[in-house]
Amino acid sequence: MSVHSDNRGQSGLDSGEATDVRDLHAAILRERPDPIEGREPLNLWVVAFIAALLFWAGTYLTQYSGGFRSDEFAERQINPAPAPVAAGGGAEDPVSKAVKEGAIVFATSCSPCHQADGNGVSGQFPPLAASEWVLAEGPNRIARIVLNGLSGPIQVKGSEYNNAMNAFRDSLDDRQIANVLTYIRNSWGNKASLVTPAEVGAIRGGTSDRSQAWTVADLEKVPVSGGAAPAGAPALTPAALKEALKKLSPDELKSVLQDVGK
Amino acid sequence: MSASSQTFSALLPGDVSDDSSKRALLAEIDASCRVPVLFFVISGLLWLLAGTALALVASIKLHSPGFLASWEFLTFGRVRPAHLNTVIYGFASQTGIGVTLWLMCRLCRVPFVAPGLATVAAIFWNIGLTVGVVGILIGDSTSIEWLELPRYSTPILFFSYVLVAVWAIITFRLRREQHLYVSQWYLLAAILWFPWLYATAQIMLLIEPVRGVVQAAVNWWFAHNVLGLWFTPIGLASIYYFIPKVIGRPIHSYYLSVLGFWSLALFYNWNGLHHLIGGPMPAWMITVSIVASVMMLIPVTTVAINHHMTMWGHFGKLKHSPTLRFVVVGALCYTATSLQGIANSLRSYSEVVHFTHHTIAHAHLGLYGFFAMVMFGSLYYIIPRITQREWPSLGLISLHFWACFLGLALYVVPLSLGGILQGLAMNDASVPFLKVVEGTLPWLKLRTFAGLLLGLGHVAFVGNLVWLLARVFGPYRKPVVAILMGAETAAVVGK
Amino acid sequence: MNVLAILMIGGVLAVPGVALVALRWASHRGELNLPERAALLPFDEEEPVGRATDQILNRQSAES
Repeated sequence: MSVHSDNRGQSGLDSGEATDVRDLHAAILRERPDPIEGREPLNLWVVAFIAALLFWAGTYLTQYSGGFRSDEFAERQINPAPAPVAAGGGAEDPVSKAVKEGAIVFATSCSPCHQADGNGVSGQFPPLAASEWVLAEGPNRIARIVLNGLSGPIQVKGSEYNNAMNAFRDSLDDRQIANVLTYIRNSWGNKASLVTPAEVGAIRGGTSDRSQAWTVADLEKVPVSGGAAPAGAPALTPAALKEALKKLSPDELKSVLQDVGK
Repeated sequence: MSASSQTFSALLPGDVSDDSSKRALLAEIDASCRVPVLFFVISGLLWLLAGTALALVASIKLHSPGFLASWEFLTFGRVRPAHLNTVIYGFASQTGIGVTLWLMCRLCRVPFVAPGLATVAAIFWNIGLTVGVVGILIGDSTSIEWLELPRYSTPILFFSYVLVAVWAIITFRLRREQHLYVSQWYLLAAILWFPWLYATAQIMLLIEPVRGVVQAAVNWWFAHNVLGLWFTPIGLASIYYFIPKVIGRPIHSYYLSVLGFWSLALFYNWNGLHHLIGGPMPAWMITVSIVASVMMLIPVTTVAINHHMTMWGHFGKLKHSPTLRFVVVGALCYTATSLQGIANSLRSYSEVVHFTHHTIAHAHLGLYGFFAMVMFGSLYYIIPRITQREWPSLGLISLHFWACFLGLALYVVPLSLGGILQGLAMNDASVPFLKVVEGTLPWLKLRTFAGLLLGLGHVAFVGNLVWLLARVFGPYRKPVVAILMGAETAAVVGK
Repeated sequence: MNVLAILMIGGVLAVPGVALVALRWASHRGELNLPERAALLPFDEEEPVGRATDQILNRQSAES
């Protein structure tokens, strides 16, 4: 009962016979099969374990670091997937050039809904691959959809889709829209003509008075190709408007467009 | 009870010993630590009571939203950060510093140098924190997790950290023991890491904020490192000191302990970004942090082997030593929470448990099960020595231990499982979100109950401490003053 | 580049630098090669190896 509480205490055992007590304990300690404390060298298994961990670390780092690129967010991708290129397209081919640039626009603005494979989501987002709307002779209707968005039901490849697509009039310029249209018209097995920024620009000008999204009923009034205005629209044709706008100076043009934008 | 405790205190060294020369150095060091260490520890424990109360309010609100809903300053969005900051900066940091100060003095074998410096640091710490917590409750939170304290309070706290770091360097320079024990490596590193972490996070997030997702990266770098480079080293330093000290046997392998320290220093700093798995960060940053998290297996296994092998054959002593009980439970929780954390950092596992209560259970297993338990154990050892008074009630010690142990088990185990179930349900698109939320209710109610048990343990501990302090200032007044005076004289000579 | 950026980068370089200096200092002083001595540092003549401390609970049943 006397030595337990705190051994700095001057209990009977400690004061007179400290050496003996320590010898006694040392003898007890030696009897144990344990190795001498504190001097235990690094176990070989520990070393092997660390080596295995280091090997794993190197493997994992090279496999899942997205090539250590600052713009790569998917860990499994070492190099970004090459943009799908129309068969036979050469480097100088304007279609493949537009497709390459359009792929970037598509990835950021379109693929969340229409999916990277262009197949959309059943019932909600219509497919673009093999879609009769995309493969139409001219870009008149799809360019309008991209510019102002689309709302309400639409029939694509015999199935009905009903959701809303937002407008890209303010976020994409003519060149970006033209490239992305060329991309969707020439990917996933699609094959259709190049869309030029000028065509998109004309449609943009011609529909600048439209603020709400398109509906299928309205779109069907627009001819599939050519520069004609939708039926029922004011007499002013886009071509005429384009001619009129060409006469303005850049500054005047800008202010007109800004006014129209309001 | 009172009869046995009186018999008990009669056996105390402070009470029975008049032969001070034999126990000169340790007693001198212990006595010299009294004022600053007690200041840090007592204020830390008061913050613990406040933090427990705030935690209970927050916990009850999660299953009974109407609770105390009429007070604006007790809304969940304020109570929860107030709880976090009181327990982190109030309880854990201050108690940790108190233990650090004592361990540094003991291991450097010098009486407390510059007690005024440390006491000023403690005063500023409490002023800064009080301002900050009140700021959170009145709605001035910065909304950055782990850094919610408003900007006007943090410079006061930072000043205090710097004083503590300066104190540690002075003590280290004046040491009489030329060799370093592994605990000193951990303590010195922690005391220098923390001001660096804190200053960097403050500058990059609040003073001159960086842009975009870099903020999230800095935030989690800081929040994770507070655990790993501030609390973990202090907790491990205590375990490395107290287990050998209590069972009277050196640690199993000193090589392993050195390896454990340096691998922690090398790998921990990279871990934080695994909190952002699935976030808009470049893939390699996440991958590097996952690799570093898995590499934490090296320090964790070396520490686990060392602690366990040191204890081997001495488990019977758990029955008799409150310090050993708390510290060994803390050491086991360290291993458990580290392994759990490594699992959480893996992408496939994180997909399930991220944004669930599993994370909360993990954080409490680490900060409470490991750190707070180790601190309680350390205080059971330190306080009788610095006050020269034994714990008045052994019953309250047992109550404290069992309440905290059961409370911890009831907190962590059900909430971990509940979190996994919650994560699986959230990943199942066919389960409506409201169903998922309803499914967590039983676990949340169980957590409130566990919180009450923890609170009971805390009250028992603080009650015992108040009783002990009453004895210091009560019938034993004269010898205490004599010891204190002697110690201060010796400390001056020590310089 | 503003002052804060220099401070931050300086901090990032200084911390591993200090760690390397500390490691070098420790190995020069033999801190990494003193296992027997270092493991005994918590003990001294007043509280030697082989003697348990803090054995305060449940004494009645444990010791006669």
